[in-house]
Amino acid sequence: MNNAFLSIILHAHLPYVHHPEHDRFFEENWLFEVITECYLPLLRVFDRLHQERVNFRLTLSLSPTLIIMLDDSLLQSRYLRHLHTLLALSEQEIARTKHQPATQKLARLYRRFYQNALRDYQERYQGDLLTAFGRHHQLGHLDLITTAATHGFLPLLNRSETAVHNQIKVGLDTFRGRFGFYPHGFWLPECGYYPGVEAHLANFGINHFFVDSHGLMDASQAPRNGVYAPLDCGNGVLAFARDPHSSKQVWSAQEGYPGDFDYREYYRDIGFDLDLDDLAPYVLNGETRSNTGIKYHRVTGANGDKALYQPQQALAKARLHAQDFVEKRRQQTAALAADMDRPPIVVAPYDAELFGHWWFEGPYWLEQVLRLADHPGDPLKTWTCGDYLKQISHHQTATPSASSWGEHGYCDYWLNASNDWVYPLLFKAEAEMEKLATDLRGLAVTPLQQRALSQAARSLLLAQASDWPFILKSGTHVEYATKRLLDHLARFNYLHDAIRKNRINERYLMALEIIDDVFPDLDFRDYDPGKALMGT
Amino acid sequence: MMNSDLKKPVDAAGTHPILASDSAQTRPAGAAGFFSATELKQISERLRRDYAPVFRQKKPVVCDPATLSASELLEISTWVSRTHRPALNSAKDLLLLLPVAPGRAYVYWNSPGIKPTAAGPNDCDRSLWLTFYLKAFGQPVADTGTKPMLHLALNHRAGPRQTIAWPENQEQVTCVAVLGQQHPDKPFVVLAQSNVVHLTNPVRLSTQPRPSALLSSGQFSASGQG
Repeated sequence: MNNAFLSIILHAHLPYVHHPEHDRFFEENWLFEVITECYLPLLRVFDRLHQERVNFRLTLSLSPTLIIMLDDSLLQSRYLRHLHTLLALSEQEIARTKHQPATQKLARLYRRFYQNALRDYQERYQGDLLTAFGRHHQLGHLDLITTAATHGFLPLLNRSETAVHNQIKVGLDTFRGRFGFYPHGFWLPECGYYPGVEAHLANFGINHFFVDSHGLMDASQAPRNGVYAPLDCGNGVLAFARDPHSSKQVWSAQEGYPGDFDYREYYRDIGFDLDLDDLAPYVLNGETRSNTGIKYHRVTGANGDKALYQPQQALAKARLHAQDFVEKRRQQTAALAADMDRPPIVVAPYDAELFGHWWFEGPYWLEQVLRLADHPGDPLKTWTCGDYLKQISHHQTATPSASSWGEHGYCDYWLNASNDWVYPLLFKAEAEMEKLATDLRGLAVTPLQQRALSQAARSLLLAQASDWPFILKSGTHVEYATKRLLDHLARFNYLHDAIRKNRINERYLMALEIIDDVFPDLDFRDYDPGKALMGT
Repeated sequence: MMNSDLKKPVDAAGTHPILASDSAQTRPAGAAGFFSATELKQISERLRRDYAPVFRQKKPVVCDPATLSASELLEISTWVSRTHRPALNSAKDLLLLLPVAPGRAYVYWNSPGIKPTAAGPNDCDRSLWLTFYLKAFGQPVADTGTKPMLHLALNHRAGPRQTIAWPENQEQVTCVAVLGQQHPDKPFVVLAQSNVVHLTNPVRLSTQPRPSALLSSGQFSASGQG
């Protein structure tokens, strides 16, 4: 019987949010929410599957900024504080809902959910989620990969090839610094591909990356096997494309599983439902409403009143959806195999944060999918794209089309009237950093100068994150994104001036090193285009 | 050119405005017995730290957060942000050309001298034009008398930006854009010139028959988090 492969890729990324200059900072909750709702549940899924000897393989992309934040002791301690706050809130909710038994039952579930998170984070994983993910890599379940240093959107940074080179290099070095090896796969931020980026990837030993469907379908040669086999870009680096069918079943707002009426409603949170007096200790400044994570309702319908969440009903639906997903993949790959000269591989990439954070039942759905796909005698198996390349050689050669997985499929979301002003500033800073490195070619610098130069490069990388133009376009947290962008560029300008004028204030430099505590191994000399583009 | 001082040892205290009150900057030197034993030790340690022979260090100095309080960090970051904020309106004319998709380019300009006012038909400012020239490697731009590929009047309603649909007969080109003013009976005045960019058009593949299972069902967007 011919084999067929399902390759699920979870891409986990958050922008670097780290504010030691404040006692607490609202946007740090982004990390805390996904640890509780996504990363811990996913780890428990992998642990259970391993204990029950389920054969499963999938790819997990961990962005460098996320790696750094998960390892940061300040954020780790603040996460514990966050969990204790949620536990107190759930206790308060249990008391408040004493005359509403159905709601109180949910409040108790939330208390247990947070107790489990606290126990697992502290005791089971010892505050070290990366090692826990790494263990599943060693066990052969996860193929860990990474992405660009700060998730820079490479098709718009490639005005400077040095900028692209350093986004990739620093990202890979950060990953290696934490996990001890370089990955073979690479996640292009936002699946943003431009012809030529594969040359940079090849320099670092990367042998595959991912594009959206049209990246392959609109390639320089028609792909003989559609999106169900990779294309060799001509230099031994292969592009795998997202399968639109399996993605649509999960991503689509209209037709996707997460919109089912039985699932928990993300947009109905007690942070917006309760009296502010009840919430004061748990919301920003005691007066700004925000999501708390405690949500009592299910999607119910597109409009109208929301019914109470029924957890068992939701899990039953997730099982059905998992069966539907796997069955559709079996039918799909059976049809594909008849027309292909090689085993089809269905590539299904998702944002990891969809699972548990946006789609509360997502981790349970994924667990069921992985269980169902481990069926003796079934030709469909979960595999990674790296596995595929070890088994299948000789691929069609063609250049994929410029593409991304964002709105309209190209650069539109990251380049429009809301965020175009960003790019002249980024390009100017990049040019100045490259000029500094070039001017210092062959010259010794003092340790203090070295620190200032490296910190300038860190500021530049943090300014280049794709998250800031994304947020400027999406319209939420615009003020924060604007401030972060301008702050990083201001820090770059300050350090650039200090270096050029030979006036480095160590105290100020140390302050910036503490605040932007990223990429410890970064070498500013990599910004010398003469060095960067000579290869690695 | 790089400041040649960069090769010299650096005074860590420096003469930064915020350190103007640092007594080390004003104290007269030379008198024996002027320094206490503690001061001499501090100076000695600083000299050792800052002026020891340079060995290339891979790892940066580990920062001890305890050395600076949260309020000091906030004070410093606020000062840096206030005093070194990037200028959003460049004093120099700027024209940026970026590929936004196959077949489409994005032009953004920031030119202090440009004030579109004279709206013509279809909201176009008939005095401001974007002109695109093919760029051969090493060839100077816009002074060759080359016939432009595209010559477009600006739509002033969109602000300092325009998305350009690329002529379909050009599969891929390397080009530059020029922003300029064109008044009747006067020569074209160049205000700003863009970067060089490589633009492509969508691939027009022959529609060879393929099994329906292999066909994509169309593009939709993903990415919830950015």
